[in-house]
Amino acid sequence: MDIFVLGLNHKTAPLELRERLAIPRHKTPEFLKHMAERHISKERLMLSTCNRTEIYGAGPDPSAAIESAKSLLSEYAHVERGLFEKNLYVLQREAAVEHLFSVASGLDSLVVGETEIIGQVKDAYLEAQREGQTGKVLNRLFERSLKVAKDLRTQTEIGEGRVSIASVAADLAGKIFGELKGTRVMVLGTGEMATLLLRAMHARQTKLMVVSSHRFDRAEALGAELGAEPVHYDFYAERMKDVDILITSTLAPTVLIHEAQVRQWMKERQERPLFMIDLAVPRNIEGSAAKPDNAYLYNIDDLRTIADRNAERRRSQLEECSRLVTRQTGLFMDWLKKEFGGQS
Amino acid sequence: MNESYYFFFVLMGYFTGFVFYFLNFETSNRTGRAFAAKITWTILVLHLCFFLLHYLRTGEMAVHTLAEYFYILSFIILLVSFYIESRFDARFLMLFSLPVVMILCLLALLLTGRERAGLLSLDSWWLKLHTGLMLAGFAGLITAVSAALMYLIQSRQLKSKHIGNASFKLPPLETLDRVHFRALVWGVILFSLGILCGFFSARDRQELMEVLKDPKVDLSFAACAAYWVILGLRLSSLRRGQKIAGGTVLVFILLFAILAGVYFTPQGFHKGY
Repeated sequence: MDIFVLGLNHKTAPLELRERLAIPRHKTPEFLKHMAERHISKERLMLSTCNRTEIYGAGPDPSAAIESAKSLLSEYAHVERGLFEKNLYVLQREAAVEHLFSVASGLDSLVVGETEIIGQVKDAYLEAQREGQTGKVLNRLFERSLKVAKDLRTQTEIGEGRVSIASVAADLAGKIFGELKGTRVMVLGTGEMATLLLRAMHARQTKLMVVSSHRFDRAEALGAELGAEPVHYDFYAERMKDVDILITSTLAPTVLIHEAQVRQWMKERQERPLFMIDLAVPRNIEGSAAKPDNAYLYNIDDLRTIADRNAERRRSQLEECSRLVTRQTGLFMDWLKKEFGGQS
Repeated sequence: MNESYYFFFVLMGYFTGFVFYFLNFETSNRTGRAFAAKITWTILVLHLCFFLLHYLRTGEMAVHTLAEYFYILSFIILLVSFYIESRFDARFLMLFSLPVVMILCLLALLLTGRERAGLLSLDSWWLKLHTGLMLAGFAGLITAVSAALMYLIQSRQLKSKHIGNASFKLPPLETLDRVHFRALVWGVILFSLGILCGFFSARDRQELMEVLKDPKVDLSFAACAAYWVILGLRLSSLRRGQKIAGGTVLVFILLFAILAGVYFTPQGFHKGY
């Protein structure tokens, strides 16, 4: 019994090609049925995300299965084999197992250590299982891969620290307020970055307020979309005593918020922590506004530095993660050998 | 002599637990925390066994000497810390409580068998209450100090914008503030009631004037008053955060100095106890 994987990802193929060879989720059952009709291996599974398209198989004759799978992919996506064959990777036995463990753990992702892939691997597995395309080997392999992904997260720091600016800001807010649900967030400005952050905060069930002076219609639209309250710029200062997180991202050429103003707000807020995120360039909040106790101020460069440091920190965990993945691969291969003996 | 060995063994056990907590705090290995907790729990059970054995042997609680006092205090602190750590998800509270516990165990070890003059007979209910409440109050205050130290580290990291290992691992400021505040409230109330019971006990023995002349009593009273001021400021929301946490730590240093002075200065009503 041999295991194989063939596919392409963000490392081996450009976006245009990945787009053409991607199999939408709703078409996965159909694709798996085609594989079954062509007797492509005994067990089969399709994993297709925005960054990768991979076919996993387990059966007695991997070479023939791999050739058939390439042809099917070409026909199904209407792309000539010659156009994508050089971008494909084909891995067998330990290499295929190790690859899946790395994929599921986010080690092979564009953003190392991201967690979305765990859900995508799980969904692909459940889909194939539901369609009756998996058997003893792939069931065991995919269940093990999810366990490995979980173990890596608990035993190393591969998932520690966010790597996007919006997530870093949300994480910092979490370090101050803990659970963000119900935390009151005010956003000054309706730029792209502010909107991104607003969405990140919305996902954490915060109470949102959007402030704008020139584009009040946009504040209203954003408010309607995210359930935020639109506030006119002239009235935002009055509301500050109720705000926990202030995000500024206006195009104002001068500083809008000064230290004295923050001190006054802190007094009105009875010294409750205030987290200020200044995404604007030039800055909207005076640097010394972070001086009062319990006032925390981060600008765009601070957030970027943390995001870069987190990414570096994750990369530093790769060696340890690879060691754990190799060990788990060995354990899985031992099981396979024990179960299928000479056939493996 | 047997007690010395026991105290030494427990001290070493807590030290081992502390080392594992610290390594886990400083390195990327996350499984170490569970291991450190297991070690500390095991030693805590052994710690409890000491009291049970003492009770079975003598029919009395082990709070007759300063060594035993420190020993039971360290036990309560750890128990409270464990509870708070799991109840409020205040990760690594144990890392900050264990050093205090180790100091108390070390003092217990050094004082064992050297303080017959410090023997306390718990012959009145007021004195029993005084001892129990003081122990519980100290445990609350030490837990508050641990949470305050964690708060200061976390807020310093967030202010400096250099988010390090400590910030990743320590709980959010909100959690630490809540733990600090609650532990402080309980600590101050129990400590104050403890002092009050001490006064009643002294009055019953007609030794009130002598007690009031004891500098340690006066200083403890001052420390307690300082804690009430801190608590008042926090309750009135005039101050919170770093200043309140710093205040808790500073007053505790004073309190700890008083506690140590009780044994090492040869005067006053509480001499040797």
